[in-house]
Parts: sequence; structure tokens; C-alpha cells
Amino acid sequence: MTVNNNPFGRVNLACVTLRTIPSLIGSMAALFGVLPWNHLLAAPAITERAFLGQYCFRCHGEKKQKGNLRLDTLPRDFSAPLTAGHWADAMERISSGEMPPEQEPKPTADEAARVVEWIAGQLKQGETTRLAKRERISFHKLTREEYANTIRDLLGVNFDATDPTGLPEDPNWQGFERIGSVLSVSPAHVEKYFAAAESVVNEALPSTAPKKLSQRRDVFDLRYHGQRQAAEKLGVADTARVELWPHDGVDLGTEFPASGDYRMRIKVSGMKPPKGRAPHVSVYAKGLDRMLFENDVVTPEAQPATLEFTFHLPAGYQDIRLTCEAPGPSNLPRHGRYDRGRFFTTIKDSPTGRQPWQYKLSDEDGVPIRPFLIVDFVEVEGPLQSSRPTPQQHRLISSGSENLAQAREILARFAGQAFRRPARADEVERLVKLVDGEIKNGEKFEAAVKTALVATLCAKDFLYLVEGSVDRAKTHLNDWELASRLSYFLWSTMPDARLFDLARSNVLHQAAFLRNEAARMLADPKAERFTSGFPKQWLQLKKLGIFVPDKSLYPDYDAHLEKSMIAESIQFFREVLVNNLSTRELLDSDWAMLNARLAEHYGIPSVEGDAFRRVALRSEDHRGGLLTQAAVLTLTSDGRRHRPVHRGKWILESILNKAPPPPPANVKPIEPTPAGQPKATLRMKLEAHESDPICAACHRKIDPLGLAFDNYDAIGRWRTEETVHDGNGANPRVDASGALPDGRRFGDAAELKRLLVADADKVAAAFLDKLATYALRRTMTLDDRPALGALVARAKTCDYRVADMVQELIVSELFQSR
Amino acid sequence: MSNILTRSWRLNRRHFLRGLGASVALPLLDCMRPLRALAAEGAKPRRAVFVYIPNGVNVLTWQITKAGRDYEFSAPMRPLEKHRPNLTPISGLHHPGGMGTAHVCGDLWLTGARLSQEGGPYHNSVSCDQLMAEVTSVHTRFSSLELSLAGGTGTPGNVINTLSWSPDGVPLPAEENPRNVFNRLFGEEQGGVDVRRRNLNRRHSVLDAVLEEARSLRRDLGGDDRTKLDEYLTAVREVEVRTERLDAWLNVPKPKLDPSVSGRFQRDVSKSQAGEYYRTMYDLIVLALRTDMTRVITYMSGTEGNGLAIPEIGITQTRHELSHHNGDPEIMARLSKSDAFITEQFAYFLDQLTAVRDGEDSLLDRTMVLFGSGMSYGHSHGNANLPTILAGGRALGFKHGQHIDYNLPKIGSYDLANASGHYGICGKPVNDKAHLTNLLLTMLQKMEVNAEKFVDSLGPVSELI
Repeated sequence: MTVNNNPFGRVNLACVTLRTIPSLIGSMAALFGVLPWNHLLAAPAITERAFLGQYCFRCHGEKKQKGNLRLDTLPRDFSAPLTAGHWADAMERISSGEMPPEQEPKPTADEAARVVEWIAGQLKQGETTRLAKRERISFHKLTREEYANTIRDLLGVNFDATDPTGLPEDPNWQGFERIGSVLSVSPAHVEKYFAAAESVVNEALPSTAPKKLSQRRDVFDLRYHGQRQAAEKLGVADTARVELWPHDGVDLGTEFPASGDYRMRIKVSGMKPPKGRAPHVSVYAKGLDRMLFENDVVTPEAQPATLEFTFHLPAGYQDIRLTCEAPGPSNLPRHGRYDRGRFFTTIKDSPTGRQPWQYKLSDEDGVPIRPFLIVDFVEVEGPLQSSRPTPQQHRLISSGSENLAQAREILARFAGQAFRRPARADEVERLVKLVDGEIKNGEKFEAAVKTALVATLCAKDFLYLVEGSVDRAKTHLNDWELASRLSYFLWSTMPDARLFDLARSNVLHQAAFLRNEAARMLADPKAERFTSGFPKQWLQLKKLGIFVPDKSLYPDYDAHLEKSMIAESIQFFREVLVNNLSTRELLDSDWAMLNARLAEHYGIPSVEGDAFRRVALRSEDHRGGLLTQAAVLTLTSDGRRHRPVHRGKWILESILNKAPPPPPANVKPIEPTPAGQPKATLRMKLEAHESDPICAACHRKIDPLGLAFDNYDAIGRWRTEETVHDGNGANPRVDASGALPDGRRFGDAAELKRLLVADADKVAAAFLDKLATYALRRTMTLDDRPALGALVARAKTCDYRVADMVQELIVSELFQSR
Repeated sequence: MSNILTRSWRLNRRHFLRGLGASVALPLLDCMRPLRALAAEGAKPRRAVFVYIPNGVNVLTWQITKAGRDYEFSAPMRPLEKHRPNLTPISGLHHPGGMGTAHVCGDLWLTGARLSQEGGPYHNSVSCDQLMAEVTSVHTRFSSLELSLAGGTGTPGNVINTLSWSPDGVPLPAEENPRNVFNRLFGEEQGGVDVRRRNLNRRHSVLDAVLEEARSLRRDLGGDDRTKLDEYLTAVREVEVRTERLDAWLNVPKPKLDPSVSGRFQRDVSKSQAGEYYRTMYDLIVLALRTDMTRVITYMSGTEGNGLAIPEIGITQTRHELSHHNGDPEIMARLSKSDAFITEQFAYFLDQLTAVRDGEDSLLDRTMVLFGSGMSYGHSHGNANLPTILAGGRALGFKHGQHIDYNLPKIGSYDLANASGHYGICGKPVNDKAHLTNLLLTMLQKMEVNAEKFVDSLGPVSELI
């Protein structure tokens, strides 16, 4: 039995497939104890003490301690791991019906549900207390994304943290990747930190000028290898182009001379059929499993666009491919397709070149039949950084006497930046000693200093956000710590010069300065890291794609759609934040942020292009707010079918901040529909199992929240019938109606949204809790309740406007507390 | 610095290793071993490999129903028939701390930890492979190897990607890409010995400097309040030790492999070619063992979140999806097929280990291999009666050839036609003394780890020794 409420594991719930859900009904006892409508539940109250006395103590009390368990004296300290384990064990056995045993008097389902609910609530509280435990000095490891951002600001070098040569992926806790107590460091991490530090320091301060690459691939390099002369003879050497069918591509494998930033330029036309999808350019580095660039491209045949983008790569050969990602029949396998001596061209009436209509890419009027690309050339150049001495060499090392005094000065300055506070003399001396040792080992001054820079980047004070001091149990952050908290909250990187200045003057903690800074920082482009990072973690968007939708059931689902789904939720949050809208809009809105791909997915007309823009919604679009966004509806599905219980659980976790307790082990599976029976919706199967009163007692609090979204399939498309594979006859109609435990009824998702909007206070409180978790890098506990409560009250006066809430959090006591 | 530097090495010349499959002699093993170790342990290496099956199995078809020596392999296990003298299937084992942990079972398969009671938000304990590595690492270039279908650590308590945990209970990130692993093991570093020694020396100085700084804070902090700091200190210190070890191995050239061997690991193997992917990983493990790069390897052949779909035999769902079959006969049949497929790949692994000679013995005789899962009946997350097969290690003292069954003495016989009855056996231990840690303890002792007990073990499995 476990105490954690992790989304896919400890809580069995999140990883059962849809059809097993009713089987879990018996286990979900503890859910609604904290929800607003719970007190209206019509069961007679029985205190946990009375319950335990009546049903448990006879065997686990003063006289007998069966199984070595004594409950009457078991402490109620749920934050103590061992005690919590015993309580969790007891909860498990009660909720599964194992206890009390058969020959003993049995509690009613409601009584059992109540005591399980009580224990689960206590355990949850105990868990958050442990998670948030503050040490005298706390160490919050930078996530790998923050590491890369910080390196960029510190050294002006891009570090590819997610490459195989990068850093290990960070574990998350309910979506949050930055919880200090969850992030750990193993020897493998340290090896990678060392390798990363060496590589970024060498790139910033190269010992020799890096070789440059400047390469242009024309059509004879891309496809018509060795046929330039033949083309010249035919007179098409200047007009030959390369057409790419859907899924077709050309290889751009290149030896990159040095680690650094490179620029690629692609001259290309993108042909979109009038009613079809746009062709999508993707440039993918296979060995790194990294998309270097992707975008829809639509330009006339005769007026190609030049796409230009930069990316960072390590030195060495990279297997890169430019592909036309678009649906449609591929011409692969392409045997005989590119006949030697045949050249594709878009010059009308060219006697010697093959034209689009001849390939059946266009009709005879030149209107595209399927999406395709026409490529003219691809150029790569780089590294783009200026050669030795690099700006960093100027800035960090400059010229000097090349003695230890200069080293001391360089390292004090660098460590002061890297540690995000002034470096202490003893710290600097350790680094200087390292330089000294290296010089004695025969290294030149610059090389020796670089070794000390590497050491700085492997130091705990760089890798962790360190708060607190040895001397005393501080309750407040100092200004340097505050600058880092603020900066990593809104920018996911180190403070800039202005924040450092305010910290040095010791004025940053003053409300007026903080308010100013918060506004300045939110207006900065770096704030995009907050506007994307926070919703990604809060809404657990990373789960999208864990269960990849089955290709045979959902052929439309592809990487571009998945990316667009995630982008929608991020852009939606961004729009709410930037316009300082109310949290109410998060639940329900009459607008959406869409690109063409997603609009097509939703069946909303007249949205063109890959860029997201605000679109007004009609009621028949059945969208608006987060809950009916494709990302949310898909990440709570299992790739084959929607999962109402998981949808309910997601709403409880992410929107209402009330994670349900774990179900017991080994619940009985529900049976598939026997052969010959009419097709049944999932809902009908769920209802068939509500005959078990223990199940029903709890699941009626979760399931309605999820069933309300039955009108959306496993990839979030609207439907009125559920496609069912087992059973006979027509697909059954969807019934999305239901009732909250307090009796308020709703007919569908739209009506449920309105009920949630009416509970705006609760939703805003949950939102603030998530925001504070992200900002403070720890979970919120009972101790934080008063501070959070005060913030919610303040937020109410400004109609729960999101940007205001961010501001108020930053100037709050809570934000400055350890 | 450790005295390992002063050791003399027997090997001074380049060695060539050709071919993988056939029974090629293993010239490398003896040459590369330090003299001191030769004298100390009678020269015979002991090795251990752990292979994880994700999401349990179709227990209705997997279960062997007869105990003892004349048992019959169940259908999915039939590929193992030819290795019968070299293996022991075991039924009825469980981790007491694993009951009801659902997919967290992967976290504790080799640790046996009772995760909910260990304090903190999440705290695991050392996995048995790492205890073994402490003993074997003095002999090899790499102390252990962590492999997985998915790289990194994954998320502890959620979907873990690694089987291995440090003595501090920190997950050790796994590698998923055979090419990266191969290059790490066999790739030639730039520069001559002197350049590389200088590089290692520099790394050592850097680690020394940051360690010194962290230790001084650690002293100031005194007795408590130092979990994350200690974690950092331990990790840096371990890398220091590894640096010293690499330095000690500098004079020993890495084995030079025939391009036909190395080429196999330089191409990209798509995970959609499941069989090819598994066999590449298994070949890599065999290669690492036969060249004595390491003696301890864990391989999570699939995570609880993603056990490979097997398009080549028409299975398009992951094992997680198959395991939640909800009683659907079609899906259950596919799960059995998937079980048989991964067992067949495992049999291939045993074939390869058998084919390689290691002195008098085969590589399999000197390598103990555990093949199993932390889950049995995946559909309802049953964590008892865990699928478990121990293979190999006869030369290390293991006796094989029978099916050890801890359920039968209590239940009399299996009734697999009664599905819910058998699911019950998989959800709740029949014999509460049949701890998986008993088996792990037996393995630890055969690896000459000085251990009387491992977590909640009650004693070694006497039938095996």
C-alpha cells in the first residue's frame, strides 16, 4: 500500500484501461471529503474513532494485536513514514472489504467509505508535509531545461540538454518537474554534468579557432546526382527542381566541424490542395532524435519561400533528413519514379522537364491534388559564433598579466554569476588553487582557468538553488535567494543584471520593487518559459503521447497534431495571462487559440496557417476553456478509448486540486460484453457495476465529472455516438448527463463547465496552490493554508484575474518565505 | 589515489575479437584481469544479469502446473525447453513491500523496499545488483551497466526506467541506445595514454575541488539536515572513484573488435523491429560480459509504461495495453503471444551465453541470469506469484532442473480454468514466507557478497544450492 498519489503508478487508477474502470469503483472511497458539495452527502456521520472502536479494536486493540497491528494506540502522526504505512495498510484492507473479516460485524458501505476517506485525507496531508520539509539549507536542483537556460545566459552557449549527450530527464511529481525533494543526483548525473561543463566551456572559450562550414546543396546534390551536364544539354539545368511527395524526403547528412550554432536556409514552395492539408516541412536529426525545424509551408509554385532557421549541434556527422510531412498516397517505394535523365520543373510547357500535372500532383489547371513540396536548394553555414577570441573570451578572460591575481579576479566574477550571489573568498581560493595546480601541471593560463570554470559549473552552488544558512533556521529568503526564486519562477533561468543590482542594494524584497520587477519580467520574452512551462507541468501535458493513439483507429493523429494540441493549451493559458483574464475563462470561454491543423481537427472552418490565433467560438463548436481542449481529452485517454474515470480524476487533480486516493490491489475486472449482446457504451458498463454499493459510494463522486465529456473521443473529437467494437447492432448514442453529489444536475460538458464556473472560488484556490508549487518548488502544506487563503481572498477582489494573481503571489509573504 | 594504480597488468598488446555467435574462445577474459585479483579469487569471474518483463504475463497460460523435476513448460515458456538443465522456474514468490504497488513494482523489483514506509516523499534502497557491483567492480573497467527500453531514470514511483538503485536509494539512469552503450564500452578516446591520463587527472582535480567545498559545508551542518547535500557528495565521490578506476585501466588497451562485430552496434535499430532490437541488446550484453567490461548488468526490457508492441507478429499494442485485457479472449491471446515472443528472445540470449566458452565452462555457467517481473496479473495489478526464472550460474554453485513451487503445498493443484481463482493467487501471496528477496539473497551470496540477509529475506532458497 502506498501513500503517494502519483498519476501513473501508486494510484492504480491512472493506468488501467478504460474498460476496467468500473472494477475500481470499490476502491475510490476517499475522494470528495474535501469538495464543496461533500457535506451534502446523505450518509449518517460516523466518526473515525467510533468506526475503529466498533469494527477494529476487538482484534487490533488492547487485548489482541492480530497481525502485530494495534490501532487504538497507533499514533495519528501521518507525516511519520512508518506510522503512515500502517494507516495506509489499514485503509487498503478496509477499502477492499478484506477487513473486518467475514465472521465479524460489517460496516455499511457508507461507513467504510467515510473512514477510508478520512485516512486518505490524513495520508495526503502527511505526504505533502514530508515533501515540503524544510531543511536548514535546502538544495533545489536545476531541471535540465533550467540548466540549459542558465548556461546560455552565463556563457552565451546553447547546450542541448535533451540530446543523448545531454542530461538525464528529470522525474516529475504530479506533472511538476521542479520539486526539490523529488529531483535526485546519481554518479551518472555528475559524469554528465562534468562532460556538459567541459563542452560548454570549450565552446565558449575555444583553444583554437573552430573550422567553419559553408555548404549549398542544389538540386543536383539533392537528387539528380551527376546529371548536371545532362540537364544542361536539355536546357533545364537552371529550372530543374525537386518535388517531394507526402512522406518523401531528401537526405541532408553533414559533417559538422565544431559544436556550435548553425544556420540552415531552404528555398521551397509548398503546394496545398484547396480542401486538403498544407504540406509540412520537417528537418529531423535522427541520431539526436531532435526536430531541428518544422512548419507548414504554403507558397505559390513560382514564388518559393526561403525558410531560415538556426539550431545548435555537437561536432561530428549528423544524419539529417528534410521530409514533406503530409497525409496522402506516397509514391514510395519509388522504383522508376525518378528516372535518370528526367527533371522535374514548374516551367509551363517545358518540352524537356516533367511538370506537376504529369506526376498527378496537380490537375491540368495546375491546382494541387495532394500536398507536396518543391525544393530548390538547402544551405548550411556555421558555427555562427565569431572566431577566437570569442566575445566570451573578451568578457571572461580579457588580457592581463596571466597570474594568479588575474585568475582570482576572473573566478570571483564568474562564480558570483554562476552561484547567483557574491562568491565567498574561501570559495574563490579553492578555484584559484585549482588554477595553480593546473599551471604546475604544465597547462597554459587560459587552459588552467577553463578547468576552474568547469569546476564552478560542477559545484553544488551552481547545480542547485541553495536557500538558507548554517547559522540559524531562517524563515525568509535574502535578496539574492529572492532574485533567483523570482527569476527561475518567471524565466526558468538565472537573474539578470538588474535583479542582481536590486539584490546587491538589498531592496528587491520591498513590495514596490518586486511589483515593478514582476511586471518587467512578465513583459520580457524570457517569460515565455513561464507561459509554456507552467501550463505544461500544471496540466500534466507531458502525459500526452505516453499512450500513442492507435494508428488504425485514429489515422489522423500524428506528431504535428500532437504538437498543435500541446501548443493550444499553452497558447490558451498565455492569452489568459497576457490579457489578465479571470480563472473563469480557464473553465469556459467563447474563444479558442487555434491553428489550421487543430481547427480542422475540431471542424472549425476558416483558420489558415500554422500560427495560433484567437478564434471566436460558436456554441455548435462545443469548445471553450481548458476542459474540452484536445490535449486534455487525449492525455486522459488510453490511445484506444476515452477513459471517463481518468478524465474525472484529472479534473479533480488539476482543476480542483483534490487527488483521489489509491484503489486497492486486485480488484475484479469487469467482463467484456458477451457475444450476441447489443453494443454498450462505456457508461452503460460502468452503470452495470454500480450494483456494488461499495463501488457506487465513491465512484459516483468521480465518474460524473469524466462522463460529462463522453461526447469527445480518445483524441478529443466531438461525437454523438460512441464507436463500440464488441457486441451487435448500431453504435449507441452518447449520454453525457449526470449529477454532482450535491444534486446539481447537468446535461452535458457545457453545463458542467457552468457549474464549475459557479464554484470559481474553489477553482481559483486550486490554481493558486499549483502556481505556488511551481514558484516555490515544493508542495503546499497545512502551514501554508492561511497564506494561500489570504491570497485567494485578495484574488477575489480582482475577479481572479490571472496576471494579478501572479503579481500578488510574488509580493506575498509566502513567496519570500523559505 | 587508490593503490590500483600500482598494479601491473598482464595485458600489453592489442587483442582481436572476431565473430559473435559461434563458440569463440575468450582470450580477453584472463589477460585483462589484474594479477592481484587472480591470486585472490582463483581467477574465476562471477557474473549476474537481471532482465525485467514489464506488466506481468497472461498468468492463465504462463503458469507451470507441476512442481519438481518432471514439470512441463507452459506454452509461452516452451522456447526455454532446450535450456531446461540450466534453469529453474519459480512460482509463488512476492515482495511483501510490493503488494498493491501496481506499476511501482518495477522500482522495487531488485530492491525489495517497502517504499511507503521509508520516509521522505519517496525513498528506495539499494538494489541487489549494486551490492554485487561493489564486489566485482575492482576487476572490471565499468562497475555495472544499466540498460533499458527507455533511457534515464524515468519517474520514481510512477514509471521507472531503471532497475538499479545506489546505496542511497538514488535511481541510476539507464541507457537505451545500443550504439551509445557500445561506444561507451569500446569506443577509443582521443589522444594517447598521456593525453587521456592528463584529462582524467584534470577531472579528478575538479571533482576534488567541488568535493572539498561541499564537505566543508557538510561539516558545518553537523548531524542532520543534509539529505540532498549527502546525495550530491556521494555521487561526486563515486565519480572520483570511477575516475581512478579509468586511470588504472589506461594502460590496458580496450579490446579491438572486428568491424563485423562493431558494425552491428553502429546502425540504428528501430524499436518497431522488436525482435531485432531485443537481440541487439542481448548481443551487447554478451559482448560486454565476454570482454569482461563489466560483470553486473540490469536490463529493463520494457518499462511498466511501455513494453514493446511487436508488429512483426501482428501485435500493435504495448504490453501495458495488452495486460489490461479486461478478460477479452482476443487480447489475452495476444498477451500470451507477446509472452512467448519475449521468452523466445530470452532463450536466444541464453543460446548466446551458452555458445561462448569461458575456460572450462560456458559463459552461462559463470553468469547467473534472473528473468522476471514485479507483476503477475497485470489487469488488476496483481503483485504476487511473480513470474520468475533463474538461469545459468551452474559453475557458481546453482542446481537447476526443477520447478520450485511455493503455492502447490498449500493449494494442492492449479485450476487454471477457474480464472478468478488463479487471479486471486496472483493478487495475494499463498505462502507468506515465499519472499523474492530469498532468491535475491541466494544470488548475492553466490556472487560472494557478504550478506546474511537482504531486506526482508528469510534465508536462501535451499533447492537451488
